[in-house]
Amino acid sequence: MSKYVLRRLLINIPVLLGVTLVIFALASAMPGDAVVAMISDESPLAEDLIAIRRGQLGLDDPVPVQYVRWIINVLRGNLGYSYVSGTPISAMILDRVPATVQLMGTSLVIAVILGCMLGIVIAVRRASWLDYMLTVMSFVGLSVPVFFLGMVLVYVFSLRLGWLPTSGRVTAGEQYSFVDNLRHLILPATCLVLVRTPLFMRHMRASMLEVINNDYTRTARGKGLRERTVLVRHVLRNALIPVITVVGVTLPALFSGAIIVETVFQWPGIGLLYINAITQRDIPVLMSITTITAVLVVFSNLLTDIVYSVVDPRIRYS
Amino acid sequence: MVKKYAMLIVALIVLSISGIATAQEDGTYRSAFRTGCMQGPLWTTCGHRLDMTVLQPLVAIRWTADSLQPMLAESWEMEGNGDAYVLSLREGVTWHDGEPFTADDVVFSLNAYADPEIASTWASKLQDVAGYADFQSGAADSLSGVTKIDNYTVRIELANPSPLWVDLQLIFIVMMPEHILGDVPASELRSHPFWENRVGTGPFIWSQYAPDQFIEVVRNENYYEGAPLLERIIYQIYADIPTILNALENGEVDDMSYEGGGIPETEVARFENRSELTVLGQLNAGLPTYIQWDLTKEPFSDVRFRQAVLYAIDRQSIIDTIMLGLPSRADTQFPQAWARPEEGMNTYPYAPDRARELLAEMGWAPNAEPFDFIYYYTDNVTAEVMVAIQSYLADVGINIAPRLLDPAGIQAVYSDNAFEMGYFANGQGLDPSLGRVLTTCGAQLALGYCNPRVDELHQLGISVADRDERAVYYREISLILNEELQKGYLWYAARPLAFNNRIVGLAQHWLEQPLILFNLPVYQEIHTWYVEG
Repeated sequence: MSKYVLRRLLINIPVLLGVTLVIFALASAMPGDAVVAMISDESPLAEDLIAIRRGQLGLDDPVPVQYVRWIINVLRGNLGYSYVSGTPISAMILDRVPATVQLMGTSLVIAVILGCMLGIVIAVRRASWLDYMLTVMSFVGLSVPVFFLGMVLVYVFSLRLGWLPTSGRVTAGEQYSFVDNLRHLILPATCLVLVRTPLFMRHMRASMLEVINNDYTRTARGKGLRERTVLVRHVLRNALIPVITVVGVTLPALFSGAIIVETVFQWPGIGLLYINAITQRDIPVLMSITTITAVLVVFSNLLTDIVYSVVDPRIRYS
Repeated sequence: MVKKYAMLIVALIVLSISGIATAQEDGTYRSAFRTGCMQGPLWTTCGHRLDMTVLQPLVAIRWTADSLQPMLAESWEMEGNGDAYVLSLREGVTWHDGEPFTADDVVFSLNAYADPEIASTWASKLQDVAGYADFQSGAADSLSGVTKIDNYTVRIELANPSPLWVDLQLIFIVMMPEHILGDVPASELRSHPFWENRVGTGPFIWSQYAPDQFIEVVRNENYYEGAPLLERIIYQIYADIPTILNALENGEVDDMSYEGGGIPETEVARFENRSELTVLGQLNAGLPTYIQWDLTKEPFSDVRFRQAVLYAIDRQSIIDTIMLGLPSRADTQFPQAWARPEEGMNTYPYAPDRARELLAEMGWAPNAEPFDFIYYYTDNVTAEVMVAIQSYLADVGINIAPRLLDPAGIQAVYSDNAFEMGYFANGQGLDPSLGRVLTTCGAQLALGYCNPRVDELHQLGISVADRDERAVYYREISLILNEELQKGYLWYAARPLAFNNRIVGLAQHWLEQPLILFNLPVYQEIHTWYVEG
């Protein structure tokens, strides 16, 4: 097992390097750079000042040179400094991680539990009114744009009912209180739960249906086991594998956040940092977030594979 | 056990939901602030409100936009016709950390703005000061025109004398503490932690900053104009306009920020229905909005083409229908009525036949390859304006392909010399002299336009201080630009704003402000504002 893990990790090093190379090339190919992004049409900057600033940031070097300089720094554990604010990127990211983990963690846990439970229920009660209703609702959840959903939630629960704040993570400038934090969390988290639950539900349902008609399920029923035992021990355990894959693929979002929801709700997480970095052409910030996300994808895939072997004894790595 | 936890969770949710939606407490003014405005006065193009409440200029423009307010400079004297200025600083002012404010801070700050290594966005505001060119080129290591006479007196000598230098240039320059930043190497100034914990001289003291969330500033009891009545201001940071609008409607912020777009025209009525808000739906943004073209390229270099474009577009219909009548039609550049002649300007009424005639005269055949037409406002109203302009122009045989770009993208198009046409605006509320940036021969935004008479008139316009005398020059420029259409003037934009009436002084000052003054700190007597009740 440990040999397998080690091999997987080694294989992924060139993959990660490739990812950083592609993203760096794409980011550098965006029109404009961090210096001209600071100029507005209302305040044009003289050409010589632009040149000086580019020189300070090293933007006048060829892109490959910039990439090599960046990757060497990263390998030394230095993510560098923001082109825009000059702050160390590690600090900027650490500042935002708690907010993103809170939002994504809450919504993922709820979405996975709710999605799997509903998936099991409607698989067992296939073709019932509940099945039809939830299937239709899941299509709605999957197809409604998340920014629109966010606006609707704000309209109903903040503007009309006045129950919840419209945006932010806490009431700005107030002493931190958990209840206040929770009240701010409800709408963005609900928004994410509503779009992610259908995904897990549909996978769970499909996977259950595949297993539920298998010979061994019939055998289990035939030898007189209780329906509950059949479902939990024979069906559910076998049906979980595809669902674990979906959950695994979703895990890196715990770090990378949700750009749209964080923007709509001004949730001060990684997603908001990322979108601002794009408009400001803050390439070091953008690269750092992308690279960390890529590393997390690699690890979560590995984690998924390891969990497979726990759930399914047939899977053994050597 | 499980039940117990479930009950606890339910209880928490109920508790949280039943809380009061808006936590407004006494003495706090919550102001909306846009993302990306934290770079500090040397570089920001939108964070200038902090440069009145925390840091401060020597002299500021008053909210009425017609006079100056002495701030850190108590008074100033002009030598000759603006050859030099002697500034007398306010004595007894201290920085928020207790250090005295002196002439050293002034000399340091002016030099910081002009330092080529610091690359301030606002360096050009000092270009008339003696020694600026040498400092910029590296021949000198400071501004020779700035001298400390004594601890509370500074003399500034100009290479290009102007009686309006304080009125039009010095008001942009914000003072920074020499005792904190004086030893910081120029190249490290931008990343200095000072910008996240500023020490100023203003009515409010920097208290805390949470990235992407808020900046809190609290009352300065020792403020030289008297301690503010507000306890604190919380600048709440937002990335998106709809989020601000929601927060405003829900009472979570007290105003709509003017930076980066106000309330969309189509939403104004919704806010006007709210009794707790004062809505300025037609607030003049001081923002001539126009079609911009590269005059070095065909067919834009032909004035008949440019005139045809204006005849082809029914500007009044666009204003009345899409923009709900809020902007006012523009026939030339200056948003200041006094700078425009009362008669003699062509109003370019909607006349598609006249447009077709002009195009036929120049042998125009409808272009199969549409012109790249750039715009940068992301709101729906602008998108609809683009569709309208596109169809009006198509009607006379001019095809355009509107394309939304962000500022960095636009700068890249300019520098690749790929720019053709676009929908632009430029903040000029302060004074018509700001219009130079769009016309001066060789200036980037002039895009190939060059009329030496216009440059000469602009120079004359800042050579005298009297508005009636200046008006003569600017009216002549107005006529020339109306005829030559270096830009295709559409309208003077409105930027609808709204203010919660619970902050007494906020709406009152904005009601007296004739237009938005972009990119500089504006004196609004904020120390006299208070929370109602």
